[in-house]
Amino acid sequence: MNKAVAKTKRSHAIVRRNRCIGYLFLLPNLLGFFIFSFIPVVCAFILSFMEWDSSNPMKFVGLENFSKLLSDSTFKIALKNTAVYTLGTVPGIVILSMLLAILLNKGIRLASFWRAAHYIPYISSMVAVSIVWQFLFNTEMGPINQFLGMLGIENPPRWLSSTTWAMPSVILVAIWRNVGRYMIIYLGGLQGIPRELYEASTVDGASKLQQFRYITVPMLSSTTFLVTITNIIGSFQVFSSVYIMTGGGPGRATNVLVYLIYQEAFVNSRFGYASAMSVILFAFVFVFTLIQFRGKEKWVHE
Amino acid sequence: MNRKKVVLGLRYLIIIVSSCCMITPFLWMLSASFKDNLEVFRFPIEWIPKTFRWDNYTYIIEKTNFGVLFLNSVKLMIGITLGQVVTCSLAAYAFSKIEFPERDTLILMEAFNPFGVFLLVQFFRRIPNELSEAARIDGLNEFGIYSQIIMPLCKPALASLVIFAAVKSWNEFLQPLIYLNSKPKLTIQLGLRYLVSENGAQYGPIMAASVLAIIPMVIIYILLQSFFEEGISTSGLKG
Repeated sequence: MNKAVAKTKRSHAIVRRNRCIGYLFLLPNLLGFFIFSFIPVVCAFILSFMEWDSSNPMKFVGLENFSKLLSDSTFKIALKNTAVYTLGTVPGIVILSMLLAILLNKGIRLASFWRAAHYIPYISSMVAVSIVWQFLFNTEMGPINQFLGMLGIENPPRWLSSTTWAMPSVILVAIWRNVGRYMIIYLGGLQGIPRELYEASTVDGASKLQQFRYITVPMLSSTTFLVTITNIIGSFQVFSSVYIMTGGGPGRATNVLVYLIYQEAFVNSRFGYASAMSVILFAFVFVFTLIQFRGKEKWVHE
Repeated sequence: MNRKKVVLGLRYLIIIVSSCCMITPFLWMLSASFKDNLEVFRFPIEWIPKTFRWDNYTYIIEKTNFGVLFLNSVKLMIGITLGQVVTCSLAAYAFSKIEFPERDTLILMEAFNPFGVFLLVQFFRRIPNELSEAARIDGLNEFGIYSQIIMPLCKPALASLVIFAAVKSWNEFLQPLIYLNSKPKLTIQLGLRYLVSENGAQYGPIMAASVLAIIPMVIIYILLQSFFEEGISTSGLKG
């Protein structure tokens, strides 16, 4: 009896000690979380009920900012553009990066060279890369249209200066920049597929295409899930490429949510209104982060 | 046998074409950075300029404050990367090696900080607990186990984290755009953006500045590539 009491006492002491050490190790990270994530989010929530131009005192306006959003045509266009951008980039990136990973997976010479070639756009500054693409897309002088002209195409698209082509151009650059990053993640996923599955199916007479359809794709499903969700969250927050390449234009053709928030807050000094938009953006990102976390939990807890 | 060769040939073809699509804009940028304004957009493209005009680079380095901005970016990058490595690895140690009741609830917070902690947790879990037990018996405290046993065993994961954090902080644009206002404190990305808005028609120098903004990350990536890919492929990012 005494022994048992001593034992639980000891295990309590261990729990207490572990908790203490555990929090000590977590402290810097938690501090970072509060300073850089939690507090700004709370501030944005509070500001979203205020009217504030940073020089005059704050004024509480209740839900007015949100009701204004409902009738703001630019906000609706920005939402739509963000959705179009997401729908344009995500499937392209997922499919291309998976296929490239499969092509590069085994039995290819210079594999690390090809991988690096695909990864370099992703590690390159978005500002620099956007400037280069802006030059490449230039309607009169740009090499792309010069090349199209050489092929005999008389009225090549005006790319970034056309309301029709600006968004597809921005999407193209996004796909170009991100494919390599996700290809590397897919390559990691491919290494987790047991060889025996392919060997057994070869014995059963399965073709390469059937193996792809019934082994590779399903075995990569958790990678695909991760890649898709991370990509969606990233697409919601697109900013730099739009800011540099199009400035949200021509007209409002590429005005996306974060760009609009930036404009409202830091150009028009309407911090309350911009915060209301950020709250909407936060809600979108939050939902997808939760979905991602549910998926992540599965592999974190093995 | 022949079909296999055709398939392999096709694979190479697609990989080469795709790699060209990835690299061509950089080659164009690099070659334009050595040209004068008239040559930049000349068609057909002269991939290797007849005369290399280094003055685009000397202009950027001597006539603008790019040197200062470059240094600012380096400082910011080192600070952020070090901070990330330290805070993420400490947290990952708590999540994987120390058992206490609220642990699994706290990990929820990490949902907002992708990669860092999760990447390391995956790695740390793979290190057998016997190792830290043995060290504990030898009298090492918890921090000693973290710094002398666990961290040295996780170089690939740490290399991945360094690349992620360094690249992200070096390339970050929106946050410095919002927070940094005084000219001498700008980062290289902001400097590049102002260069374009102030001297939009100086194509050669702009391309030279873009090259300078990209090169450090390419170097870090090439140096750490093998570690980095090992880190990615053995981490929890796989299926």
